[in-house]
Amino acid sequence: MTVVIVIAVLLVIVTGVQLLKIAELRAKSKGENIWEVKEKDGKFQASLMIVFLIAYMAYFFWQIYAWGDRVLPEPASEHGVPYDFLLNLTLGIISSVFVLTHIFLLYFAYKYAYSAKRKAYHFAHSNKLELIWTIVPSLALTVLILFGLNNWNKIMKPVPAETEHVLLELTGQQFTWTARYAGEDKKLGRSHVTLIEGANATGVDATDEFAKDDKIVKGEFHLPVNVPVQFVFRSIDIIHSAYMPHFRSQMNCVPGVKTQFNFVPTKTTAEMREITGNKDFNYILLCNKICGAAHYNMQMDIVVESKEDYEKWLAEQKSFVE
Amino acid sequence: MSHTAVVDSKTAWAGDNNSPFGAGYGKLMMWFFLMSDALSFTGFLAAYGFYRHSYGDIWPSAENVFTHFPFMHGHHPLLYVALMTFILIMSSVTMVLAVEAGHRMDKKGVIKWMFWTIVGGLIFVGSQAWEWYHFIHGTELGAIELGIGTYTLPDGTVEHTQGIIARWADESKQALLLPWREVATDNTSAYLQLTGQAMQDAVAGGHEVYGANLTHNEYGHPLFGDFFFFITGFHGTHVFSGVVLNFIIFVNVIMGTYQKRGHYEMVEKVGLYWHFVDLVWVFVFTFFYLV
Amino acid sequence: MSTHHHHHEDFLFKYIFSTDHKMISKQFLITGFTMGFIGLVMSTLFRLQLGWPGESFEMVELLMGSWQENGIMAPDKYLALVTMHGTIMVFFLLTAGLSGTFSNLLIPLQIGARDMASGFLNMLSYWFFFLSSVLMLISLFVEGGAASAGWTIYPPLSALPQAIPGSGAGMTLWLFSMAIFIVSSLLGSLNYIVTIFNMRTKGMSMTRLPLTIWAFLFTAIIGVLSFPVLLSAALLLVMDRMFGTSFYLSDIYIGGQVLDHAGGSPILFEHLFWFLGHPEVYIVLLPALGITSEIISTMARKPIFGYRAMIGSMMAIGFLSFIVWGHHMFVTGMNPFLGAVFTFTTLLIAIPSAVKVFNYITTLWKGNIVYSPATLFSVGLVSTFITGGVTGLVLGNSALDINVHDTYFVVGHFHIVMGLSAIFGMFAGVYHWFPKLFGRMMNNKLGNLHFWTTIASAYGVFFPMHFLGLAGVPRRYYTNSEFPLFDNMVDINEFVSTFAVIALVAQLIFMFNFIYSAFRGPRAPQNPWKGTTLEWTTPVEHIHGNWYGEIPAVYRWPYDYSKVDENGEFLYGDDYIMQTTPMGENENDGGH
Repeated sequence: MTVVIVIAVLLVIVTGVQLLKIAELRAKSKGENIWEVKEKDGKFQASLMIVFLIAYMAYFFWQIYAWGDRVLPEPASEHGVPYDFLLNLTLGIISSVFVLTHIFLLYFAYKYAYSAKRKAYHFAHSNKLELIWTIVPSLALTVLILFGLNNWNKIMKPVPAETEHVLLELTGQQFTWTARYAGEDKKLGRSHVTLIEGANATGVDATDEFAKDDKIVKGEFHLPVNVPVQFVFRSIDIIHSAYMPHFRSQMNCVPGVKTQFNFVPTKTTAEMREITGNKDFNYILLCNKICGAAHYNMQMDIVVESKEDYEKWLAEQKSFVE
Repeated sequence: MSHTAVVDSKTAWAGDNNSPFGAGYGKLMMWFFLMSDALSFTGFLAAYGFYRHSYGDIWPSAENVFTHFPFMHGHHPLLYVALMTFILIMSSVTMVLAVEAGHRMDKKGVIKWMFWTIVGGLIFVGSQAWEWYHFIHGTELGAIELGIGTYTLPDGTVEHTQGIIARWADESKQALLLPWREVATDNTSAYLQLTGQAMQDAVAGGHEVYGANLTHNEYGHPLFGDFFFFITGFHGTHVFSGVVLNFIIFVNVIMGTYQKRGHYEMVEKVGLYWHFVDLVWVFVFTFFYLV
Repeated sequence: MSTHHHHHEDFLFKYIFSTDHKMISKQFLITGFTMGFIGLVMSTLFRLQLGWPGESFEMVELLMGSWQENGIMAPDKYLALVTMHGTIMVFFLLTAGLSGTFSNLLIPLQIGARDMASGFLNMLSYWFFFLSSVLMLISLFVEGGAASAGWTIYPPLSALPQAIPGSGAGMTLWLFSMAIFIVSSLLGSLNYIVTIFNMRTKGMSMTRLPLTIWAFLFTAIIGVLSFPVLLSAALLLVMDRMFGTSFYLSDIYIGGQVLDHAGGSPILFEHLFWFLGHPEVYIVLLPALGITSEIISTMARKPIFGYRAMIGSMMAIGFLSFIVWGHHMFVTGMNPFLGAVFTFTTLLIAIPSAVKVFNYITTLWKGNIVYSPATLFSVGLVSTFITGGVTGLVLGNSALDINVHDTYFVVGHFHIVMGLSAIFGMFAGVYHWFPKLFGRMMNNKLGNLHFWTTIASAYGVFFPMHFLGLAGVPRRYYTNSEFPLFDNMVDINEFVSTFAVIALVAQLIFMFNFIYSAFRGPRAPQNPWKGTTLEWTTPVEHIHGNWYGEIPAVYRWPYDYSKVDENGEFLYGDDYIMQTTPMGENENDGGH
């Protein structure tokens, strides 16, 4: 099989060489240079620019049509709403810029193809134009920056201690996640990698009073709807990243450092199943920072339910001391 | 190839082999190389600053660590480093004098001043080696690296003790000094201590550390040792290579190469490198030893 | 700089250890393209895995041996391929290959110098690059395989062989290779800067330099200032790996034991790495932008619009590139205030980029455009620069980056600006200056075919990635088939991979054209594209010292295309005026 392919390739190459030689000889026989761009060839390439404009724009719109609904469903968190608004606003702006500039670019590329009858217009600079297209983008960007930073500051603020919230630690490691709920005392017990042993996979300090009522959970973790959840992220080996796309949430898990993120889930799993029309839908936690061979399969399900269901579920989970 | 031709700003940028900076290409290259080398050191110093800031309150204090002076007993904080710095700066002065002698085509003058520059450089490298030796060797007392456990600070925070270095307060070995202070933010308040039973438990649970290497040191946080070795080592390598370069050029001066060439620009170029090495040391000395 | 007239040069010094900038530029080109092709094959291989996960590709097993047992790629080898692909493409093809070729070829020719300031250092620069390439390729064959922590090699993954096999010998070789690469790059940059400042011919003031030279100058300055910090980052990583230091490592439990490192932070590595990493992408892009300015202007028979604005925007991009690195680190948990600062500076950098795009389009307006393959690729570069650049507005905004960081949205963005724009600049440069490189002409029809197949298939590969990213599909995933969430992405992945294979085949057209033309292409004339710049005044065959006799003096800027008198007739009878033509008595020089 390999031999056949090799021979086929060689034949193609030899044919190509011969074709090129013929083309050069033909040009020479007509008294021309093969490398000179003839006006009609140039005009043909120019017309391809218009074909390309139409095809590229059609391709762009076709993708939106064919795949536009495959992107993430509506946000399942409180900050997800202004997030999606800003995202769609930005996408709207850049799509318009994308389409408009391409129309100008490719139309000019078509219209001004070389003709011996014309002369190009020796127009070397215009301060006015430079100012216009410096100031207009600056204004658009200022809007995006202000919106963005406003959201950013709100999103990155930790949940104030007095507000009722769920305090949840997620520990990443090759290649699994472990969730730990702070118990009734609303504090997470201390932990350190040197304390990792056997069943204590995340190194919780058994001598710490606050650790005794912590609940450790694997496989899936639950959240009550409309209650803020304050995450604390850890890693015990290398950098991972806790990505919860439906909640518009992502934060790196770094060994030696505790990072935080928080959001308010606003849609229960049941609701989301209805919205997406997928009865097997589940929220999910993915690892999103390259972490080794099984990086592609490091996940944990997330269930969002009513407060009562959540408390029922939590009560069934074993606390650390058990 | 012109080197010190007088160039005004009108002609400089205009072409015709004029240098905008009035310098030959070799010198210009040396300047840009020094800029890039400066950024390597900046990377390291930035890394150092990053950690010094994070661990500010428990970072060892250089004046407690570098207290030796050759052939003298007693406690002389930073005295030897200051002397080393002085010698290196003086060697830059002698280098300037060598370059100046070169401008006057004074071969004997160049030889004299380059000789002292090389001597200064060698003394510096030797001193740095001596500092390393003492740093690695450590004190007679040593320190205790604590084992697994916790320690509660006066304000209630709980610290893990694993890997923390506790130093003996004095030769009597009655008390261990912890890196935390009685008042967290006040650099003048006393270090917390372990005495009596708590001290004995700590000694039993930990292990003795003498001297320093890349993973542990008796002075405090492991990164203190890591950065000491790496930054002074990287700098020392530059000093040593500078000494070698200076020596090669020195030999050339003696052989009359530059006298024949009609200019001592090569001396200027290695002079630039030498000044750079000196300037970097000023920064290292300031940020590592003084701050 | 005197020319040495060698009456007899042996093979070794004429070809292998040449100090002639023209030969060195070809050496960079060949090595760069070879590495680029290897990187391209790697990407096609892992696209096969992503498009048809779990399918057996027996033919690939022939090439990959134990990495593809039973025709299926192993997951950690997938990561090795992804890492090496990124490393090779960013550094070996688009930095050394692009800058090394065109800075070396064009700087002396376009400024009017006999050669680079130091031919010896230039020769060293190439051979260090060659050595670095060899080491990088050897790392594919060592035990444990090649480095596998992504081209960004974050520790602790890159510091610990227990975390992934590639972080053993493969990673060590990677670090050695890159250290030598950095030396090569620095030597080259020093030469370029000093030559441009010191060795311009009579009349070639800085504001009469072609934009290619300005681009190469800024690129070299950025390189001199940013690569050393990568060197620092890499040296500290070597210390952690080999000497037990804790610069980046702390509190690690792996392989059943707690490691002895304490106090370090992987985030420090990220800061140091991206301090180079971000300027690096402009090191990749600026030469391509400079080349495009030159080619669009020449082929449209029109001055580049806004010459000074183009210089100013390159300077602004160069400066800003040093203060935006944190936008790669928005979700690392660094202080949110820093995140805000970096958002601000990152979105600022969009402004000079936009100015350049509008200037390119205005240059085409009312031009008289001759369509060589170089022209096509230059117009294509503007299209891809727009397409890829605008998605930067999403990624640069910290609040939005939260949900698209490390997804295919990012992969789409950087491939379109680097994998398309920058490589298009390189292709355009090769087609346009082939006569100066090899004294022959490439075939236009094949070149045109190469362009259209490439741009169509490349957009087929990278555009859909934005949708994958917006659907939450992470990057560096061996397969997307483990999550029911991504089941509806299967056809998009197949779409992308199909076009990846087509794109690979399209490059074979270029390879064939390039090799044939270098040996048997029609001989080039003196000035095939009727350009105004000095390189077209040198003889077609290469000579040391570039010009017979005196170096020509220059009297005007390089963009006097289609200059007309009051009657609308071309001055001097044609639609271009060489820089070597003195100004006429009543001619208006427009301030240049």
